[in-house]
Amino acid sequence: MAFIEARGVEFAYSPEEPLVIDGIDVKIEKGSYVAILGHNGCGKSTLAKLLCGIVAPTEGQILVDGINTCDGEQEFELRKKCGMVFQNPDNQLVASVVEEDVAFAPENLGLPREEIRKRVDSALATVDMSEYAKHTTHKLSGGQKQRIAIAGILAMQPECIIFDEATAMLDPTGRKEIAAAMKRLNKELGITVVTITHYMGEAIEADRIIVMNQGKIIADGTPAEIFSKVEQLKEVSLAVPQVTELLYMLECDGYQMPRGILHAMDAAEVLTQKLKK
Amino acid sequence: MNAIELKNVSVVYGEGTPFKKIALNNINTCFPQGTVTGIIGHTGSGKSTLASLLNGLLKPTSGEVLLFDKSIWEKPKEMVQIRSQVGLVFQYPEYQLFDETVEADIAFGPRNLKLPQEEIDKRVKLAAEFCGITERDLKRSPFELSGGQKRRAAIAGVLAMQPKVLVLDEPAAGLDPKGREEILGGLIEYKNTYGATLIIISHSMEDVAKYADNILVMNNGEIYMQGAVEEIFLQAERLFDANLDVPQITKLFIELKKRGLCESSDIYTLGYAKKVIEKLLG
Repeated sequence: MAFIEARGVEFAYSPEEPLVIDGIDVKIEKGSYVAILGHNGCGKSTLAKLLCGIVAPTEGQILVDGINTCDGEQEFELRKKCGMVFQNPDNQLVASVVEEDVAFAPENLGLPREEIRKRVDSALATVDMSEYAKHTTHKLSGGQKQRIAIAGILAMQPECIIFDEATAMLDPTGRKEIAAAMKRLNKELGITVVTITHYMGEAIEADRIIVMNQGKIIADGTPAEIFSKVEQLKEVSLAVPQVTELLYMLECDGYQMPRGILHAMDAAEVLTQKLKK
Repeated sequence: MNAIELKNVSVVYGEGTPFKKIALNNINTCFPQGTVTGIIGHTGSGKSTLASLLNGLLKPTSGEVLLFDKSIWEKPKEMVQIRSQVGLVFQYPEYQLFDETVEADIAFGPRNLKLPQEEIDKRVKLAAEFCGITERDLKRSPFELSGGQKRRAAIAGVLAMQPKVLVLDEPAAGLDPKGREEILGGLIEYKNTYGATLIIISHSMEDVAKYADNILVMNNGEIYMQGAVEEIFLQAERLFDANLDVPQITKLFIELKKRGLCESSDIYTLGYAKKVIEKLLG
């Protein structure tokens, strides 16, 4: 059985407004690593909020590990299963000291003191912020704040974490660190990771990419499958990695080039073959 | 002529406390009039501190900030003058929208300059055009707009001040590729129309490569590298050392050069890359 399952989901913010989510059926398997791509306003953030039950669908239903997200009585169970990291770190920090902020969730779960200590330390280590444990949160830079927000979710040890453009404000190193953390959470701890992103580099890391446009899913597959559809992605205002685009442009000019090349090294390999001939 | 020049500028936060931090250490640089400078550097490297020095939002602990060769701190009472010449757009400017309509929000700055109504209307219209805001959107509440539209409305509010120097902290963060292009393209158009100077802080090497003339690389509160775009991206190794990146396309050419298939690696835009490869393929 899928960990998250959406059946015929529709959503509008009010009855007069157009549908933001327009008929979505999707299954996300336990332990998978899924990236959701789409341009601004395509409904991907709304989908993320629906998947972890922050908003309820106007039509259809969503099951998270068998729990219907509309079932108010099981709300706490649902929250324990599925955490969400948002785009803006300033909206997610609640305490004035870093380690207190990370401890907020486990404290509210009523865990014993030693367990909280353990979880906070390991969560901070995962995002490489251990040395800031005693610092005040408001003096951190944007990227550091975001890492604390991620640690706060990690300390809850949820089965699934949804990242809503959580790396949008980080520098390349920070982004790599968070991407590595996502991968570690997924591959080592078996946490289901759903990441919403504009960064193609981040989407490539996922096992599966879902592309959205105007509230609908328009493509679903592995990174190589998705990025071989250059025209289709451009139609919905998405970019492909630069090397993918370069090979595509060459192909349009009549050169024979393979599709779905995503990394600079693979492209170098392809071009080496062509140039040596 | 330099629009802005920094001479021996240092900024120390929390002097005399255990959290004392030297945010900027002896910065010397200039931003020539009519150019686009991209400031890159990892989180906490001092980019945003540098930006808030440029319109006098922050006073340097030591050193001088010159705007068209005049120190901006010479007569602190005339700071309003400085602020109308140097526009500063913070990260996520859409959080600063407040008025009832987009039009009124954009008009807020010029209105406070006590300009005649006719001039205000003209400026609002122009600024909206640069930012791709439609006539219809001007009448809407800014809170009904999408994220990308809000961002454009907020930037239009600064353009309506018609600043000679525009400093933008991550203007395209969180936008999709099309949104990035619309905003950055509009800013370049503004620059070309008014001969303005743009200073853009960005994490996106691809955007910097595409839009900037010069690059200033910050690292640990110091200037790590500065120069023309092609000079900077040619020194990929040094950028990697500072935990920074080069555009993906440049990485490809660095690898091709290593394999002896291509002579230069200072290639950072797609169009040029295509030409080079086609020439190699013959």
